[in-house]
Amino acid sequence: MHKLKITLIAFSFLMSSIGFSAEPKLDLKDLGFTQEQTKKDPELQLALESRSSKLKAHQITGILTGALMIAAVGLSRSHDRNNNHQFVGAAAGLSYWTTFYLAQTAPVPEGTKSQGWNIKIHKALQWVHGPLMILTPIAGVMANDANKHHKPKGTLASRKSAIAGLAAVTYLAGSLVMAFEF
Amino acid sequence: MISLLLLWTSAWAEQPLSFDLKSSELTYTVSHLLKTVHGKSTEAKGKGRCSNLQSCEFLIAVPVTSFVSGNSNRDLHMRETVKGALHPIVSVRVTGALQEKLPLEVELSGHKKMIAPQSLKIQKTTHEMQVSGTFVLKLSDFEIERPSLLAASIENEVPISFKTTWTVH
Repeated sequence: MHKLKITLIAFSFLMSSIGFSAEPKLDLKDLGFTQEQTKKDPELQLALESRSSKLKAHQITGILTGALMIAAVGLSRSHDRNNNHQFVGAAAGLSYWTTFYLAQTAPVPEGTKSQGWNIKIHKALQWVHGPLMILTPIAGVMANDANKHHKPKGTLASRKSAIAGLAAVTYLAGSLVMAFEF
Repeated sequence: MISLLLLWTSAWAEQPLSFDLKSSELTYTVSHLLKTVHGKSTEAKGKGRCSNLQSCEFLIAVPVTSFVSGNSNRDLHMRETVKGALHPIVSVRVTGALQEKLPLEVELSGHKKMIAPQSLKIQKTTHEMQVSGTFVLKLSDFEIERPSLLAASIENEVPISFKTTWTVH
């Protein structure tokens, strides 16, 4: 009996010294997280990765578009001596619409609320330079045709510089707001 | 023999304590060449228990989606970078004696890492406990690929600051 008491006491000391507890570790369910909140969503992860890839490409083509626009504006003075302005302008247009496509097709996860002053300005300015980028090549073709055939330029053709210039300025402004708050 | 038994039971009978997270503010800071960004969450949940002051366990967890930096594109990119759709919860577990040198077990992006806090302050009153401090995560420890812009990546070290208030039962 005496030996039994000693054994019991020694065992209890040992258990308390190693902090023995029958309680399992705390887990997320104990904190009130539901299965819905903790579940893995591989499809969503793929959508987020696709979004990141497309927006990264959108940034690269966006920078390229800006550079081509500046070059096209710079080459506009020599438009009657060579075709460089037209080629660079066409490249800028192609790059512009590729940039637009990448932004429009980047997945947006459900429930996402657009937040950030720069994003709002960036999206608002597309409604200015978008239509202008449609009018610019049309005006350019009309102006080129008038020059070639020594015809008077129509209203749109005669305003081509202003249209293209405004498109470039609003586009570059839209790009710069993203550079400052990325 | 009986006196030894009494001594042991009085130590063991120290009242167990439980803690519920009442409020929290967790902030991460990401540094890039061109900018420093702060993302904040106030939606952490947490519980703690101490069988005695030498044996405590705390778990605090926060949804990745609850961190906001003021830019939705950036928040979505952060969520993708830390694989937030596969591991939607970031957690910090602490076990041991309730003192100011507790190492933290951080689980992020499906990886666990023990991190020593840079600073940790514990203030106790009768019914509340405030715990605040900072620690530094290294993205490479959690196998997180550092995002980049204009060929420059963000810093590997991400300081985290936290302020928590717990009710004590």
